[in-house]
Amino acid sequence: MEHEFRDIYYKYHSRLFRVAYYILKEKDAAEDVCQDVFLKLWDRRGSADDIESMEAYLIQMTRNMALNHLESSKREERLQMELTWDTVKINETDPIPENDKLRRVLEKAVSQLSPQCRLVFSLSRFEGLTNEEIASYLDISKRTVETQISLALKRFRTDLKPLFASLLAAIAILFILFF
Amino acid sequence: MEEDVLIDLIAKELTGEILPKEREELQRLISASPQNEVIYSDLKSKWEAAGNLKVAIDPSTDKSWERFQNRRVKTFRLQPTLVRIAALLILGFGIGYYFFGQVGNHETSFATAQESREISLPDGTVVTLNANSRLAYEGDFTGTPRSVSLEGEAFFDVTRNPDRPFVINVSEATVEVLGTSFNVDAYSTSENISVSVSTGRVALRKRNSTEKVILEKGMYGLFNRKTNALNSYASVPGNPDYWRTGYLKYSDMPLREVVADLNNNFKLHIEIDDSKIGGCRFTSSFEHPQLDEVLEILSLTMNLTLEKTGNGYRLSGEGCNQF
Repeated sequence: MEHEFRDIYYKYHSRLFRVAYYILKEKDAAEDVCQDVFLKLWDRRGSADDIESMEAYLIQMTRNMALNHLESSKREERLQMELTWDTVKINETDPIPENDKLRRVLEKAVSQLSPQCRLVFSLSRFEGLTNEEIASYLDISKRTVETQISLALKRFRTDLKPLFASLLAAIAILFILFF
Repeated sequence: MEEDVLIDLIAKELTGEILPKEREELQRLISASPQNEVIYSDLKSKWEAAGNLKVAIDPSTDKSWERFQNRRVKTFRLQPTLVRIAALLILGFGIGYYFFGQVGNHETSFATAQESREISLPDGTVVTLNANSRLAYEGDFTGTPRSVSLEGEAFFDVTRNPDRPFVINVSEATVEVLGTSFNVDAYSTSENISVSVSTGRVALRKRNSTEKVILEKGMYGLFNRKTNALNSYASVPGNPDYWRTGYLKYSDMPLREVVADLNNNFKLHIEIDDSKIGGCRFTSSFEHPQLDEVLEILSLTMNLTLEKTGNGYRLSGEGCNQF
């Protein structure tokens, strides 16, 4: 029992941690949620065989507990709005400076999404899950996944308007200068 | 508005969920306006860039597991307390067992001093316990037979239940019933254990023996502690229910039985010259009488002389000379 539980812990902890982190944007809070999730699983270890998909069960529980964590402290939520993430490139051999700029922009944009939207977007992009996988892990419809991703993109679009305006202006200036 | 449609289509395209028809529409929108094209290429590059990133967190599962173990242990830390409580309980039961000789199966008991008292048992049986008596049963009174122990005297009105006989254990005898009402007099100070039956049927049995007498309504059973003799009588002598009813009734009763009844009910010692007046018959009834009143009426009615002795009274007379 103990051994099996340890295996489950090691198998799922890092993904659950990230799921909580995508919602909470805070390491300590995310780790606290993970601990609570596993304590709950430990409490019902006798009936754990009834769980159809352990991964979906744990991810949903993590999501719910992380959202509860936000609910329970509105003050923290306001603070949380200010938090942005640090991201790192998966492929470190591609250090293009412009990409770093894009990375900062992305970090900010993702940070400002709503918690649920950020979770869906992160699972899609950072975890590389398909819409179908996200839908089944979070127990939501595929349509909802699509909507959330679309919302995230709109947010990127809106936030980047000034950038695009300046980009367009630069193109226009170049156009005027050379033609 | 158009931008919303465009972004929805881009989202579908980027997540690989786009349908052929939707892709055609997306192509049309992109080529229709340079702004749309910029939006598309920007979101596409952002999308792809995001796919090459991961959040800069490195959760240490080892550390987390260690912390989890500690938290889990913490919840288990209650256990030593529980063990202590359990140990105290065991010690308590041990002491209880040592002093009372019973473990687990606790005893419920009722005792009286000077007053009599009515007790309802869990099965609905009503027991009226006379003074200086004690009734007890073990556990929650759900066993078969329904078993109680009695010291002293009590009147039982037993709830009928043929499946669960009612058994009363007194010092040297056992009374077994199905459902009935009767009086058991088993004061350790008296020579006899007596049972008088008001309704139903009762068996009076010697303790640890098969020897028994069956007592029907109105009958009287007597076990003599000294002689170990068990007898039944067709009629109840005297008034065994007096302590409960406050009613004394003598109907053409030999004086020796009247005196025995008074001795019994008032815990007295009245002596008579049995050969001369023991057979004289007496008839009268009293309700909540004073002892003096009874003795006065008795001596007047039967032309007897009453004297006080060291430990009671003495009644003497010349014979049954009724007026």
